[in-house]
Amino acid sequence: MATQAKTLTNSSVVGEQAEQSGPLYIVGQVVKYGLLILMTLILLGPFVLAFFGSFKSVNEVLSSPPTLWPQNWQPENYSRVWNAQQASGDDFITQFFKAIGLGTSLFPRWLFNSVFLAAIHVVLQLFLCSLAAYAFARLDFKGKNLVFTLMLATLMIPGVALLMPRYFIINQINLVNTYWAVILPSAVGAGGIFLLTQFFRSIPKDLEEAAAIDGAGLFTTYSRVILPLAKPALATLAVLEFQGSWNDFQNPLIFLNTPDYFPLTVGLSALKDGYSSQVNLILAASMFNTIPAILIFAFFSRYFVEGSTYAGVKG
Amino acid sequence: MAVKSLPPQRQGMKRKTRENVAGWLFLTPYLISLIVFTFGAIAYAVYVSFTDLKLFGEANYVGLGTYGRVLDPNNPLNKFWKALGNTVIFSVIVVFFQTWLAILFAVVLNSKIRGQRFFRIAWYLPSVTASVVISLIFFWMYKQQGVINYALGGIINNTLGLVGIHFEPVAWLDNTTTALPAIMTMNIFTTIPTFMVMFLAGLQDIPTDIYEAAKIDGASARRMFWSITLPLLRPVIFLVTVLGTIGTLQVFDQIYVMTNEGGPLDSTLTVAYLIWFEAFKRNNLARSAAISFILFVVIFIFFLVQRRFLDKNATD
Repeated sequence: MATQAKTLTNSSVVGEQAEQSGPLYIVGQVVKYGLLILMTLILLGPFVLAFFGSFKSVNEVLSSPPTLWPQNWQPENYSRVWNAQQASGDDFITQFFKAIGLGTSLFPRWLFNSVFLAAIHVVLQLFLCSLAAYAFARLDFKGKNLVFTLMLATLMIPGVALLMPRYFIINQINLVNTYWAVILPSAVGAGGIFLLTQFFRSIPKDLEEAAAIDGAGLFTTYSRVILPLAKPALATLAVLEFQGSWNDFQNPLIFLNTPDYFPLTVGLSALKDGYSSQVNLILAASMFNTIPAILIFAFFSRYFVEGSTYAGVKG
Repeated sequence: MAVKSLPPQRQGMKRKTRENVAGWLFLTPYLISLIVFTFGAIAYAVYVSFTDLKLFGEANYVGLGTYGRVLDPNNPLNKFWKALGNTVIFSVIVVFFQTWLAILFAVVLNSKIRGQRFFRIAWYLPSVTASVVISLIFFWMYKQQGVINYALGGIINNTLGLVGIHFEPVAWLDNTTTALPAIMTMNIFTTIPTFMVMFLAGLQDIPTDIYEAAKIDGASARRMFWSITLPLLRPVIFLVTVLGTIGTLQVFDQIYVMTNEGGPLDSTLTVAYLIWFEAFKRNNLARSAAISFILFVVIFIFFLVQRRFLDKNATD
């Protein structure tokens, strides 16, 4: 690895003044782009294979040697997954799905649950984290530094160690197996507050002073001055929070036990247990989670990059 | 909130008092969450770990009894040490490779290449996909007749095959020696991109004139990498190592989706999986709580060691 790093820094740092022609230069370029393309194939290969695999027959998806391009396309894998399991309960949402002609299939319900939970998480995190961040960035009050330090310290606590006790706290307030159980513990978080606090601190104070002279209260200053100026940071948090909730597995696995409430991730794991031999169906089901995630990333990639530290904090 | 519509007699309140009240009001939602779901949860876990609480039963105070049983090395049915061993191996190896490879990728992408934007986006993709989906895809690729055996067979048999070394397909996840390394490899693959982006940001903060000056002094590219790039990346390396360690010491989703309860023969059993298993499959809340607390201590020890060796501010 070290030797590779050497040659690569070599090309990056000295590249400018290196000879731009000659056989050595060309060989170097071919090796460099060869490695880049090989790496891209390794990183993207699994997704491409899974995408084509989702259109294959059971026999072909497990055939040896494996195929890349499906021999006969089987788009019905998708409709079979869509209708694979039926809702067990008959709550308000199931009735609504029946009324609009979606029937009682579980799969669309899982999709809805994922979108719903992600949307609620985004709204709550943006509002509650920005409130706290405004206090940390702009207000001077007793005990501020202590709370801020405590908040940063909580980032060290392994989330998995809190799962069991959180389950029993949620159980005490009778919310197990409701959407609330998944929403409440992650409605506001240290990562989001920290991200927004850093951004709020970078906003010049002039506008707030002008607002204060005009007699604006602190809440008005927060909502009318700070929030509009913080749109890039809020967008970053929104995108990361959506992705975090969309991909979350552990929390819904623990807090929900009726399949009707599962988000897609937990649903996929349940499908894997029920259809372990039909890999093509599992892959088709996976695409419903992956393709929206990829689309969101494609449209908002710059926010992912800006928030990479936060994403890291979330594990 | 309340600040917006102050009653007239309080308008004259000193700015300082007003900020004191407002500060805590703005913090209230977070404080409630912190007190209930973090402090409350910790207090509950610590309390339970000193009892023998089962899901359907009374809590009797047993002092350090539960910890003693979790840490007992002589009980063959006690899976804690096996799980801790697997977890530490997983964490150390994955963090080592993901950190170095992320630096390497970042240096490559930071150099002058065509299509830099394309590569950056393409290489980031594994990081945006759900761990469950990645696990399902690799579960399929790791099968005996799967594409990984096919690729390895093709590469090895066509090169080393000439000197008589042949590759036989392996059922990666069904084998006690290969299951954990297979999951580690997958994990390295999915975590590199996030950390690569952090290193890219770090690389862009290094002023180019340092390299110019070193070049004038005749420093080789290799020397510049070890003497300029790496030392200046140290804060990012520290952050990436700490985040990577906290994440890998809690590996759960992959084990849940890809293995049968940490099998075969507990070879992929991790501490995080054991915490879940004890609480929700065995209903042994006390054991789960005690293991949770031990995991916290392990993570903290790792953090202190890393701070000692990687954070240059720590010695102040």
